[in-house]
Amino acid sequence: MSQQILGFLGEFGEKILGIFSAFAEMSAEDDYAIPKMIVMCAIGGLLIYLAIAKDMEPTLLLPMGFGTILVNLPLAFDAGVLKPGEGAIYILYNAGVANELFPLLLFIGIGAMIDFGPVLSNPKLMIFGAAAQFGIFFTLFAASFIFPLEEAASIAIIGAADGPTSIFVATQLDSKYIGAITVAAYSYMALVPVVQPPVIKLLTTKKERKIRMKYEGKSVSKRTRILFPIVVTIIAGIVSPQSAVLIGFLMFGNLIRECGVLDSLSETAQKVLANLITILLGITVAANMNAKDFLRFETALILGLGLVAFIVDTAGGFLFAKFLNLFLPEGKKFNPMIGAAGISAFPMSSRVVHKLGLEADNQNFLLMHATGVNVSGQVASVIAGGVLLKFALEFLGK
Amino acid sequence: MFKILLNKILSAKITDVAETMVQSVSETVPETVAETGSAMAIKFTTENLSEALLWFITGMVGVFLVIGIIIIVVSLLNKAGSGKKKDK
Repeated sequence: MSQQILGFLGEFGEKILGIFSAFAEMSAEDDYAIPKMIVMCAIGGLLIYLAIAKDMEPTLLLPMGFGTILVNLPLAFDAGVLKPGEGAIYILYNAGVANELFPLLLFIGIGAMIDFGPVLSNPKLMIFGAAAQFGIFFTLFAASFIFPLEEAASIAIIGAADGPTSIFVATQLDSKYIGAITVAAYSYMALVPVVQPPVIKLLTTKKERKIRMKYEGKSVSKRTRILFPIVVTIIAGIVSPQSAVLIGFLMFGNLIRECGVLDSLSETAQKVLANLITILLGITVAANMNAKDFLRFETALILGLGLVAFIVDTAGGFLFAKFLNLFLPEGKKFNPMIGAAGISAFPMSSRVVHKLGLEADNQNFLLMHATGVNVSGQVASVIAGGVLLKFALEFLGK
Repeated sequence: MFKILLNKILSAKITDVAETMVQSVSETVPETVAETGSAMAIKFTTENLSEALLWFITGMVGVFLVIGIIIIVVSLLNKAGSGKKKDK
């Protein structure tokens, strides 16, 4: 009995010694290896806190937060979490993120969730979706002062305010900052209610925010609803082939929704598929959240540039509306705030605009117009992603 | 560093101050990089400026073009469907 106890104590002591020697080995390679991992675990904890306590994009920030802790456990790397060829997260990353499969599958779910009715009944609203992509290209320009062009393009796409597009473009361009880009894209999407109102209030007058827009509520034929996803895919595929796969998966999801004969598939895409992919995507993207890749000065720069992209997107949308108003007669003017909804962060952005409209005038209902612009932003951001990808791939000679 | 800057501000031209700031930043950055282990040296470059500007302009034009075509097609679809039975 006493021999068994001694044996157990001996084994236990060896294990403890093994842990300390592994820590010492890591510290010998990098003096700050352990503190960095602790910082990353704290960041993981913060993401989980924001997801649960602040309800900020919990579907993605929570898995990402947990994944961040998982990949930064000091001894877990050797135990197989991220080990090339063997680690579970490594395998999942290569199976779903590195080959862009997860973002594309998620797009089927998103397409099935979106009702394009408001924009189909008033197609001219789509122009604001295009204008609100200004932030992407402005950020590309700004980032090109610091980063190589292909990395600048990966960073600029944070302005698409669309997680799957950001991941897709960054992966295609083989960006080494994919972790930071994903965190920025999803965090700012969640922060739309915080980021947009001050920008809108700063650049619009109360009189402009009070502009009422008549909603005619035109009905849309079922044929138009069915043809829309097909036509958009064809146009995008011809004009911007690099966006064909993204827009194609988005529109495929929408066709399932609108065709009227695949209700169960539509429901599965909206709920089961989207949820399943979100779980896997969140925890897998965290593969890039290891201390070595994430704790760099560039990460702070990327987060800053992402914020710039969101702000300029917002400003681009409503400044374009203000510009159009110069040529429109009284009574036909747009409320410039709806331009800000073109940022694509659906549906938060349209809700923000609607709320600000009601704040300025309690009878000013902008929700339907803002929703129309918001879903246009979804399409426009994917097209912008495709355009950017085309430029960058040509630049890289791929 | 701040003392030097302050002296410069009080006594010299603005260009001298800018030079001192650039110098002090370039002196600090390598240390920070060495401390964090980050390999990339952050440097400000205008090398890609013309290319980025080209992407900026043609990119925005491209997005407007594609969206414009979609607007036209959707308007035509709506017109074609306006005589038919509609659903909400």
